[in-house]
Formats: sequence, structure tokens, C-alpha cells
Amino acid sequence: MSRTARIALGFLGLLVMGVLLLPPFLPDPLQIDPGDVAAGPSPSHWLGTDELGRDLLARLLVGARTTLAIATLAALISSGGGALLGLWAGYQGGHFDRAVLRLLDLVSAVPRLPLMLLLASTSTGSPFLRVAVAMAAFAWISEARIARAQTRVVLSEDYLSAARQLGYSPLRIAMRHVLPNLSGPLSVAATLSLGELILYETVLSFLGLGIPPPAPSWGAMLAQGISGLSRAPLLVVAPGALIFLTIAAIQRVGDELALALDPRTRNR
Amino acid sequence: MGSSSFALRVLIRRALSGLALFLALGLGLFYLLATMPASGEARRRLEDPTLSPAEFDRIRTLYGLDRSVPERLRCWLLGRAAPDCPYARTERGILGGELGVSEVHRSSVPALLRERLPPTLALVLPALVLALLAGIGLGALAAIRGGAVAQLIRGLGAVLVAVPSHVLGLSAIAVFSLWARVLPPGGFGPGPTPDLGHLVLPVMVLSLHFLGRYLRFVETGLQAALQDEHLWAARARGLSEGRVVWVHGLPMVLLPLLPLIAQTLPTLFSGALLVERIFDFPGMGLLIHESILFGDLEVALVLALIYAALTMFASGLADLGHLWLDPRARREETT
Repeated sequence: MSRTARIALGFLGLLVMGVLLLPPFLPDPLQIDPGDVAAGPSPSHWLGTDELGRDLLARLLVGARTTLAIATLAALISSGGGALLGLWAGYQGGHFDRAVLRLLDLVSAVPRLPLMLLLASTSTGSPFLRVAVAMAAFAWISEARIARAQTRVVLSEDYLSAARQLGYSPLRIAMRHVLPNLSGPLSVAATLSLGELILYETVLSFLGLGIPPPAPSWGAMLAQGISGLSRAPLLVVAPGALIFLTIAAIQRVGDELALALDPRTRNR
Repeated sequence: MGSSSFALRVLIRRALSGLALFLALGLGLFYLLATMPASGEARRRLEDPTLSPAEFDRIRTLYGLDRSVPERLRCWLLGRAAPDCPYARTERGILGGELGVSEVHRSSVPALLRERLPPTLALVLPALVLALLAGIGLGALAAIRGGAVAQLIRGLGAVLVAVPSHVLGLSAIAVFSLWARVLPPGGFGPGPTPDLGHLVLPVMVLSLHFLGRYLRFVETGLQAALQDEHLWAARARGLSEGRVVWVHGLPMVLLPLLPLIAQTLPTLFSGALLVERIFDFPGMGLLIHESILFGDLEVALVLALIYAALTMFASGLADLGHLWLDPRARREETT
């Protein structure tokens, strides 16, 4: 594993540990304090406070929890759905396969963000699910494409015709013999999707269509910080840096995973 | 079969399936939006606490909120001219060619398009050209020089691909507008169209991510191409390395760049929406966002679909260019 990939993994580990372990020891992220507004770092507020006197570090970590949880949920929905659709299309072949392929081409030619914003503004149910579904609705393309292509490859293998001649049901063949062979490329695609979904979650909340305030989220913190950019730059720099580092780290891990799973590079 | 009739067939097939997708997206999203209790102007009027129950019901009837979703869909498509549709916003409806009237701007969708589309194109096209030129140049430089230069350029590419536009945009405003005070933080300037100074930051911020992607693609492609046999033949004939790279190597990479452009265009148009918001740049993206935030979802839907159609048209052009230039791609498309 390369050094940058190790650093990336270390950063993500630290972030997850911070998100899970630190908040109980920090001030309440929703506690407003009019007497201590936009203050610098101090013993009681390690990174200082925001424009309403709320603890910045606590808001960053609790915001990270929201972002990561929504993005993970969306990644599970979209990767699972996309993989199953691709597997089904590749296995079935024929007209259905061609129709799915056409659908993939069409959906990937549409700019996601405006439609995602519309979708995120529709339902009145749980905001958590609303944002996750809006993001997942357009994120399944790459997984479906990969699952479909890989299924076509696996279908031509000898062990698959052996499984057919043993009289196994198509469902059993698809789930037990094809799906495990997709896990490598799919895990790479899902990792890269996760990075993209984290980006889109911060974009949605930046544009005011994520989790509603006062719950903290990185994108909304970035948007709120703009007005005080020259007075309290940390309010923009901290969430901005975290968004950038998290996305870069996940991309790096995904690239490294792709290298490690590629048989051509295994012995290097 | 001639290549022009082939291109025509591909074009027709794509247009038809694109139309089917828009129909599905339009109807599906309208259905979802119509199941909301109320939005936009209707919601604002209904939220008035002094409203008597009779007035409340009157407003709901005025906006058609007491009707079923399929009925409202019919009236959206056919307009007031259709029987039983007094609450439709236009006379002839979407199918009659009337795209709607914005509640935010009090003007019709076509008028808004005339006003907002040119600025968006003035943002997207230069960003694309800039990303392509710089991406090809830097990618080629990395592939030729190798060593530390290549490492540096590769690192730059990885950073550019990962840095999100909203973070980059705010950093650019902080550095160039607040600290150095050399460029305006947003808006258009005095005229109805953006002047150069107001374009620099948005175009740069939008293009950098794509610069990173094109750079990576050109570098890896050119590195492989430089080992190709016909380039060794060119070297053996005594051509200079520069000529080998620029005249014989680079064209091999530029052709597959076309489908990559087609693939990245939707992301470019998505990114334009975000960049327009950051820099308060009144183009299509900002218009869609304003309409959604205000709750004018009917118009936002129409605008988003038009925006999507524009994107599909642009990436279709890039794909057609590739089919036209590369006979191998033509063979793939027919199978």
C-alpha cells in the first residue's frame, strides 16, 4: 500500500473515531451563547464558536455524523439497487439487457444536481431519508454498469455452465455463483460512490436542501460562514477543509483498492 | 451505408429515447411534487394565520389543491382551455406550447430562458475550453518529461479532481476578492451580460475539476501511446521527439477524449448550478435554485428538464463527433 493511501486511511479512521467518541465530552452543538460569539479557540471551546456562540468542534463532529450516515445510507441503496439491476440485465440478456443499457446511457447524460434538488424538495417525510433517497436516485449508474459487464464475463466461464448442468435455479446461480465474482469491482465502485455522495450531501445542505437547521451539517456551516468570511475565517476554513480532506481520502482509498484488486498488479 | 445516414439514425434513436426519458421524468416528478400539501405562492397565502376557514378553502380551490393529482396533471398539460381547469396557470398548457409563468420573477419561462441561458453558456463554454487546453497541455508535458515534473502534475491532478467547487469557490472569493481585492466576489457588473472581470473567478472555479480529469486522461493515454510501434518507426526515421509527440502521438489521445467530454458534460452543467449560486451569477442554475427555494416547483421542473435537454444535446454532439471521426466507434454502436 502506498504512503498516501495509508495517510488517507489513517485520516478516515481518526475522523470516524472522533465522530463516535468525542461528542459526549464536548459542549452541546445546539447550545446558543450570545455572550461568546465567533470567538477564537479557548479551553472551553477548542476550535472556538460560530456566529451564534455554538461550539465549532462539536458542530463539525456532529455534522460529520449526519453527512457520513446519510451518504452511507444512500450508497447502500444505490450500490445495492444498481448492482442487482446490472446483474439481472447481464444475466437475462436480450431485449431487457438492451433496454437497461439504454436507460443507463440516458440517465447518465442528465445533469444530476437540479433534479436532485427537486427530488429533495418534494417529500415531507423524514429529512434524513428524503436526502438519502434524492441522492441515491441518480447514483446507481456506475454500479449497474459494472455489475452488468462483469456478469457477462462470468457467464461465459466453464464453472457457470457446470452449475447450469447441475440444474441449479437461475436465482441460485445469480446469487451464489455470479454475485461473489462481482464483489471486487463493486466494492471499488461503491467506495468511489461514497465519496461522491458525501460531496453531494454537502452540496445539498450548502444549497439549503439538506437536513434542516439547527442540526449541524458541513455544507450548511460552509454556507453560513460566507457572510463572516473576513471576520471569522475558521468558520469556513474548518468545514471546507474537512469536506475536501474526506473526499480526497476516500478517492485515494478507492483508487488503491482498485489497484490491489486488479490481478495484473497483484505481484508488484 | 454512408456515415451521414448512420449518424442520422443514431441521432433519431437518441432523440426518441431521450424524449421517452423526459416524459417519464416529467410525469414522475410532477406526480411527486403534486403530492406535497402546498408550495410557493399558495403555501405563503395559506400560512396567513388570520385566514378564515372559508377563505382557506377558497385559496385551496384557486390553486387547485383540492383536486386529485391526475386531474392536476391533466390541467398542467392542457391549460385553462381544457374543461374543468380554471386553476391552471397557463391558457393552453404544456402540450399547447406554454411552458409556464414564474412566481418568483413574474415572467414567462421563454422570456426567462432568453435572459438566463446566455450567461450560463458564457460560463460553461469557456470553462470547458480552458479545462481542455490546460488539461491537454499539462497532461502532455507530464507524459513527455516524466520524473519530478510528472509527479508534480499528477499530484496537482489528484488534488483538482478531489476539491469540491463550493470549497474552491469560497477559497477563491477569500483570496482574490477579500484579501487581494483584485476580482469581484460575484454578480454581473453593470450590464445585462457578465463582463470579463465577473467571469474570471466562476470560470476558473468551474473548470479546475475538469482540468484535473482531462489531465489524468491525457497523461495515461499519451504514456501508453508513446510506446506504440508506429511512433518508434517515426523516431527511427529521425524525427525529433517533439514532432513525434505533438504530431503523431497526441492525436491518438485526442480522439478518445471526445467520449470523455460527452461523459463529463452532465457533471459540468451540474457544477455550473453550484458555481452560479456561489458567485450569485444569474444564469439558469441560479434560476432553478431560486425557483426551488421559493417553492415554485412547477416552473423549476420545466426549467430543470430544459436544462437537462440542453446537456443531453451537448453531450450528444460530442458523441456524434466521435462516431463521425472514429470508424471503430461506429462498429461498436451498431452491435
